[in-house]
Formats: sequence, structure tokens, C-alpha cells
Amino acid sequence: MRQFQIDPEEMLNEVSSLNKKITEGFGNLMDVGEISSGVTPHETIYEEDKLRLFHYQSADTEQKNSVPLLIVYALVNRPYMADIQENRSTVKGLMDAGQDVYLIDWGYADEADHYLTMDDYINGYIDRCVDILRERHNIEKVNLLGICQGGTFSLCYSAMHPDKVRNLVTMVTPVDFHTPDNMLSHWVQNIDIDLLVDTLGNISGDMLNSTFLNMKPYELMGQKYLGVLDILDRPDALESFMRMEQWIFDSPDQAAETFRQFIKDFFQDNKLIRGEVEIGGQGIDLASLTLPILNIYAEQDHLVPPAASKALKQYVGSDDYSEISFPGGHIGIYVSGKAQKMIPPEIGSWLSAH
Amino acid sequence: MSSANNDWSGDWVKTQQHFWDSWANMARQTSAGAGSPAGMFTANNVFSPNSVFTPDWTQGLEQWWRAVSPQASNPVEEMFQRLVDVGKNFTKLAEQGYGAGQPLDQGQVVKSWLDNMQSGFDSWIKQISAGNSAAIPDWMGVHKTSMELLDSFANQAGLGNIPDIPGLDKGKLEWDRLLNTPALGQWREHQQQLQSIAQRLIEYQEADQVYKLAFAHMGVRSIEALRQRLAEITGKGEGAASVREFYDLWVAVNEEVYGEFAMTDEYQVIHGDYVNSIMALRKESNMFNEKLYKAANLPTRSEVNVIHQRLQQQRRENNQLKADIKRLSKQLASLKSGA
Repeated sequence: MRQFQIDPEEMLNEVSSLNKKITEGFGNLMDVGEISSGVTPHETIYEEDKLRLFHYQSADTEQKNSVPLLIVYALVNRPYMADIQENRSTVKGLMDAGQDVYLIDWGYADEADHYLTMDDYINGYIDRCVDILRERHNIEKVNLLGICQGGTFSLCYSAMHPDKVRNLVTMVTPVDFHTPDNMLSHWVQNIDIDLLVDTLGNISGDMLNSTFLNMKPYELMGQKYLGVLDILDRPDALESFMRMEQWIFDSPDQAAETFRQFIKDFFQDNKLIRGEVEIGGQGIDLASLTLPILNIYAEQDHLVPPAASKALKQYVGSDDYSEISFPGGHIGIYVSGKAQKMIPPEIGSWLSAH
Repeated sequence: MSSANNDWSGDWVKTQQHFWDSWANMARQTSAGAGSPAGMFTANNVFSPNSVFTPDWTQGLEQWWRAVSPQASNPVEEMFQRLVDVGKNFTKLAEQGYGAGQPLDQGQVVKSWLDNMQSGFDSWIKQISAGNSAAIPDWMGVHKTSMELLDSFANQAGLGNIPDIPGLDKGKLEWDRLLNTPALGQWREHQQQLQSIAQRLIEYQEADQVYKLAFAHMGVRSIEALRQRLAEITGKGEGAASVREFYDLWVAVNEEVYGEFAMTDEYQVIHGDYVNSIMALRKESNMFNEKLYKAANLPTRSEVNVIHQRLQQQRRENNQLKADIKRLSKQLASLKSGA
């Protein structure tokens, strides 16, 4: 029976080798230094509270799409994921594909933001950013690209402000929150969200991180770091890993009232697909979305399962609906080499054609 | 980095490698004389009823990390702490495999290791069921990550170091009666609040016990699944050729078993109950703290929240007014230009 044919001497060698790798890696890690993210040059064209609206500056003078593209990121995690390093930047890819790119950086919510509601975020912050772009470019409508929760926000915004959005791109965006493989949704069903929010106020980023890590605890808390030992002697790979690690644990707290509504109405009651979400007194009816929509999902997404995103097709009223299926995960869709070659160019072509 | 620094770094790494070479030699020598529980071999194999000695290789890593960690700075230290922790878990796996395999032929190493792990889980289940201990035992090694997260969740909610209530299960009825005793006199309200906190504490510990018990049962299932997977692999004439391969298999099987468990109705209920019980306890203690702050004429969270809420409402109104003024100004300008 050959199950675990390891000579005890070999076990000792393996442990010894592991220890040596850790030792060597310690030196290399000390050399990594400060890790930069958000690499594409940009200027802040608008500030309000903790929000910053960035405009990315292109070096070339090639003709751009005259309709600016506004990226609306999730409140969870930081938006520099879309521009994490020189050769892994969705933002840069979009610019190379002829788009004039803007991005909302939400900043870090604190207790002063406790009472920010979804209405404040969507009909307040997003709407004011859109108005600034409309004025700046002297146009009626902008293009929106919503990422993850930012995609859900963008859907709601587009439903409430059809006169201001020309095309909508959603990436790894949850729409149907009750698909059978949605682990986060499954976990939250029996949690008393009012009790949670009334007790804690804002929901800490660390708490959300614990939840995300708990989705694959053995891989994300153990195996991943063992894998790092194999790249400790490669400074470039190590720096990339450290950059991702920095991003993963750079999690802003969630404004209490927005978290309350998002979890209750979307995760627990799945109101978006039922047309029962109300924001600022307005009902959100996905069927009212008749603008062109490009919906992009990741086939191995464990946070937003593909089915949760693909559901959009059956609820919107648009007769110009397209999908891109990416063979990767929730993060890989922004940072993998495969994604860099595939996603931004396809978005760019689609937007330019619309 | 300057060349001087490179030299220093190179020397430093060489020194550290020398440390590990010496360590490995010593481990080999001690291994040869493993009949006596000395040096790196200690009788710490909690699984085995037999007098088998398990090497204490993790101690070497711990000693090394204690020596070098002061030289590290954030975020290197934080990152490296994770690497060292996972290295220790991996080493522990090797230790246990080594300890379990010493008196056996190699084919029996895994079986013995799994038997020992399973008896460890069984023992933990008995302990939890008896209400004796809700702590995560050290021997869980690589298997304890999700439970660590669970504990960190409680800590983040401000509930670290909650004392155990001894004999909670056995004396449940008596506890309930005590806590339901009507409060009397001038401090009646205060007594009621303390009783309520104690009640929430009991509910939290019950939920915690149920949650941990479910995880312990999942641990047993993961051992069974691993046995099955190994049998399948063996049937194909394959097998793990290194501790790392075995570790990867162990992780894959654990994720599968955990993934199934986490999507059950049972998990949904116990997870929700656990979180709700923490929040109920925290809310009750928050209310108690607010009374203390009021008594000391200090601002409370409730008061600050009211101010924030009013302020946010005013800001909404201001934004609306600004938008209205802008719209009206445009209309006015348009009218003027038309006239």
C-alpha cells in the first residue's frame, strides 16, 4: 500500500528545507521596501467628504471615446485593485483601449459616516460625480463601469437616472443574491442585521475580511502562505504577492446604514430582482433598464458566483445586452495576465462601438 | 540597496542557513537516539497512548523567529508572522507523521497519524459536550484556522477573554432560576440589567459550544474523507511522496468538507445564532456602559449617534438646496439671455 511513502530522514530534510526557505525569504522580504499601488498618473478633479474623483491621464494623444467612463468601485476593499501595478492595470488597459477613465475612490468611512445611506451614496455622491463629468465634457450621458457591489450601485443608479447614463458595464456584479452557490448569502440569512448594526455601528473591514477568509480558510490562511515560500527567492513575484496582500487587508469600514440596507434588502430579501428595492423613496425596476449593457462575470468567482451575475439578463429590459465570461476568479479578472489581454480591450471595443 | 547592505544581507542569510544546517544535524543525531526523551524529542504526542516520542521541530522555528523578529518592521513582521505560523503548522504535520511512524513500517504511518487525529477530535467532542472546555486545543494544528477566525470575530466585536461559566450545562436550571429571580429595592433596575447581561452571556456560551461542537464533528468527517481519498489514490497506484503533497491533499479535502458543511441549513442556523448571541451580549453590555458614562456626565454613543443623524439629514437638505439653486440659476440665466 503506497500512501505516504516518506522516509523519516526525508521528512526532516523537508522541514529543514522549509526552514531555510523561510530564512532566505526573511532577507528578501526586508528588501521589498515600500509597496506602491495605484500606478497610473491621475489628478483629483473633485472632493467631497472622503470621496475623491480621479481622472486618469494618458501619455498619448490618440483620439479617445468622447463619452467619459466612470468606474464605480465597491465600498468593500479599495479601488486601486483596478490599477494595482504597471503591467496589471485594468484602468491602463481601458485607456489603451481608447477610453477616457474616471474613478470614484470612496476613502475610508468612519463613525461620522454612520448615517450615510444607499440613497446618499447613489443619488448623492455618484450623481454629483456624474454631473461633474457631464458638465466637464458638455454631454448629457456618461458611460458607467460598476465593479462588484459598485455594479449593483450602478444598476440602481442607471434605473433612477436613465437620462444620465449612455452605456452600462457591470463586472462581477451580484444581481440575484439567492443562487444556491452563494456562500455569503447563505451565511447571512439567519443573522439579525438590525441587532448587528445597532450594536456595532459601522461594520469593521477586519470583520468583513474574517468573513471572506472563512470562505476558504485552509487555503487562504494556510496553504497560500506555504506557497509563498516557493517564491521568496524571486523579488518581483514576492513584491507582487505583497502588493496583493496589502490590498486584501486594506479594507475600509462599512457605513452602518448602507450596510444595513444592502444586507437586508439585497442579500437577505433578494429585493433587486423582485423590483422591491427602494432608494430615496424611488423604486428600482431592473426592467426599466433599456440602455446597452455589458455584463462581465468570472467563472471561478467564489464571492459572486457566476449565476448571481448572469441573472441580470432575464431581468433587464434592454434589447442590447451582452455578456463576457472570464475563465478566472473574482480578483483574477482584474490582475491576471489573461485578464489584462482580454477584459479591458473587449470593454473598450464594446464602448467605442456604442 | 547599497553593496554594503548586500554584503550584510548575504552574511546574514549565510549565518541563518548555518543555524538551520546545525539544527538539522542535531535533529538527526537526536533522532538516532530517540529512545530517550531528550533534546528535540519530547513525549508530547498527545494522541498516542503508547510511549512514542514525537520530535519537537517547531521549537526550532519558534526559537529562530524569536531571535530575528525584532529586526523586522511592519508590514514585513506581520507578513512573516503568517509565514512562520504556517511553517509551524506544516512542521507540526511532519512531526506528527514522524512520531506516528517511528515504530511502524512506512505504509502504516498515515493510518496511525489519522487514527491519532481522529481520537483527538473525539476527545475534543467529549470535552465540549461535557462543557469542560471551549478553547481550541493546540493539537488541532493545521486544522484550526477557521476556529481562529471565529475567535477573532468575537474579539473584534469587543468580546475577547470572556470567562467560562463553570458547570454551565449541569447547572443550567439553577442558573436560569437565579437569573430570573425578581430584582428588588433601590438598585432594582441595575440588578435587572446585570441579570440580563448574565443571561446573554449564558446564551453566547451555549451558541459558542454548539458552534464548536459542529466544527469538531466536521473535523471527524474530514478525517474520514481523507481516509477515503487516500484509499482512492492508493487504488490508482499513486500516493503522497512528501509531507508537502500530503499537506496539499489535506487542505483540499478539508476545504471540500468545510465547503459542504458551510452550505448546510445546520451551519446557517448555528452561524447566525452564534453571531446574534455575540451581538446581544455586546448590546447589553453597551447599554450598561452607557449608564456608567451618563453617571459620570460623559457623552455616550447614543448621544453622538443622534448628533450624526441630525447632521447627515441637514447635509442632505443642504445638497438638495444647492442643486435647486444651481438649477434655478441656470433657468434665470436662460431667461435673461432670452430677454
